[in-house]
Amino acid sequence: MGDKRHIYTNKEPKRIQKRKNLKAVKIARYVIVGLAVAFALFPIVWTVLTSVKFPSDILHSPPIWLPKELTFAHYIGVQELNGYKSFKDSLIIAGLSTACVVVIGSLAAYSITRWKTGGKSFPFGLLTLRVLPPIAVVFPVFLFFKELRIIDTYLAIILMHLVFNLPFTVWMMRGFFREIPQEAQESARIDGCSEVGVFWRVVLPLAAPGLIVTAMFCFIFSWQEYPYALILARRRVIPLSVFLPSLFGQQMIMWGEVGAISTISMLPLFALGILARKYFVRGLTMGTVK
Amino acid sequence: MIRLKSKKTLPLLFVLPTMGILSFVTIFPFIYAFVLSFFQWDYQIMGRPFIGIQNYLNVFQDGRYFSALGTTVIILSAALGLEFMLGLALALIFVEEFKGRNAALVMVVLPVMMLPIVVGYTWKLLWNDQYGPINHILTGLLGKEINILWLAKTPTAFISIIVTDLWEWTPFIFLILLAGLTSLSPEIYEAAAIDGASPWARFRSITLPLMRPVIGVALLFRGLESFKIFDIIVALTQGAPGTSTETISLYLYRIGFQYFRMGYASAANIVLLVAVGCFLVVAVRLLRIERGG
Repeated sequence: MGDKRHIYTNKEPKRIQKRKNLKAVKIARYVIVGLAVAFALFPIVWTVLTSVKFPSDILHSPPIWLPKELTFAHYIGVQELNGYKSFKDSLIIAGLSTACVVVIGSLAAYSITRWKTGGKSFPFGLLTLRVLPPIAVVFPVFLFFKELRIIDTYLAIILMHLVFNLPFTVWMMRGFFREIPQEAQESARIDGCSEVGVFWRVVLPLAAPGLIVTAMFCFIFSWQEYPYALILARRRVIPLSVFLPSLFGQQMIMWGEVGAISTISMLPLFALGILARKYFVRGLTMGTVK
Repeated sequence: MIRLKSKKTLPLLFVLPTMGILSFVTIFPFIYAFVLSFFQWDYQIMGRPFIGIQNYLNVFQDGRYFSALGTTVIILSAALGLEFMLGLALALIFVEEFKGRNAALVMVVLPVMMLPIVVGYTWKLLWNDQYGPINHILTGLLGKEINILWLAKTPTAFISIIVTDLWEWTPFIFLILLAGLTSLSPEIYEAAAIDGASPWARFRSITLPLMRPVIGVALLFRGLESFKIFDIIVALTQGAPGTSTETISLYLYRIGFQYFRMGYASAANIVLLVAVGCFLVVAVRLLRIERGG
């Protein structure tokens, strides 16, 4: 139908004009995309380069863009500052909190989808917890946890990371559970499967891709988190986001080490982000736009 | 027998851990803070006398509290406005197919993946007046010596913070808008093109109205996140010069954890939580109306 309307009635000069315009649009598009990519990558590249520059090159004015010699001394320096221990702490906190949140959150999400537990506005109510300013939330928590003597433990930080990751997981998994065809669940029920059995053997396996994506995002959010960790971490447990600022404050800023630890902190996130890129929008907006 | 029983208990059993944990880390501490907000509990003062609503009265007379709120709103609106315009422009470009689109998309989105605190320190180095590349690039572009102390003066410190924020979060708004644009049906555009509508007219009278709900979601999500801005400020300026770039999160952090005014901090936190809560209710209503109509 639509094709029939494109009858070639355009006169020759008009077509040439159009083609020229198209070419200009194409070039303009590549220029803008190129600028956007350069703008996005430049700070990241600069940080990575800083981590392999000699200190004299880092503190050179005017700045040296491409150093003649490279060094990996800063990555060893990070080791001396216990930076890799922080990497391990971040890994433990993000890993454990993700594991907890996925189990607990998908149970709640299933209950909400299947039995409408808590009513219609319950999931949204949960979601509002994410909006609260962390500093305002963590202040009473700090006093509370101090009474419980769990400041400066993995447990304290993991618990607080559940505050933003649990609502996220419930919301995301609710969306994924809804997409699972009812027939599969019904036939399992008719076959005499218990409710727990339906959840475990039918629903969870079908929602596995969604579960993995949700877990990836929870890991990323936990890894990035700063305010809760800042207040609940002291000496024994220091995730990367808290470790990094500790390189400042002395008379001299160790930019090389800052670059190195920044680079190290980015790697797992970029890897996960590229793996989960198909679901990026869904994760960032919690499925409000698909 | 067991089945009958599980019909009622199972749904509750499934949500119990979530509810338990969330109330443990939000509701109980909140009640604790609420009680505390009626006492004077300061680092230098012995005892914790009950002072009624004095802490709340103090909050409403605290100039620094409101100037921190103002700073937050200034940064939020400037960054949000710019991020929206840049994000929309990029989304309109990326919605069409072109060579290298997917690779470019991944690279443009990388900033969102970074730790906000790392973003802050990365840009602290970039803004550095002596060995940072920004002054160097500007010198090259403008052809004259540029030597701006970006983070040391008030207007440029704001510019630095806003640019840093928009670097990190434009991709976020861009992705949401791109998803919205992709879901618009191409037939409407074809019809409009046949009717001879110019690209600008198509954008204004088709794209924008259809995109309104998506734009609303993007701005609401980003706005609420922006309101919490803390990491970038800590890394870049720590509120300096003076307290001119101090945001509300940073100020609350200082009352509680640097000045140790626990009672006052509790009251200040509760005022903020209530304000954010009210804002949220209004914003959600507006979004619902938007969607319904």
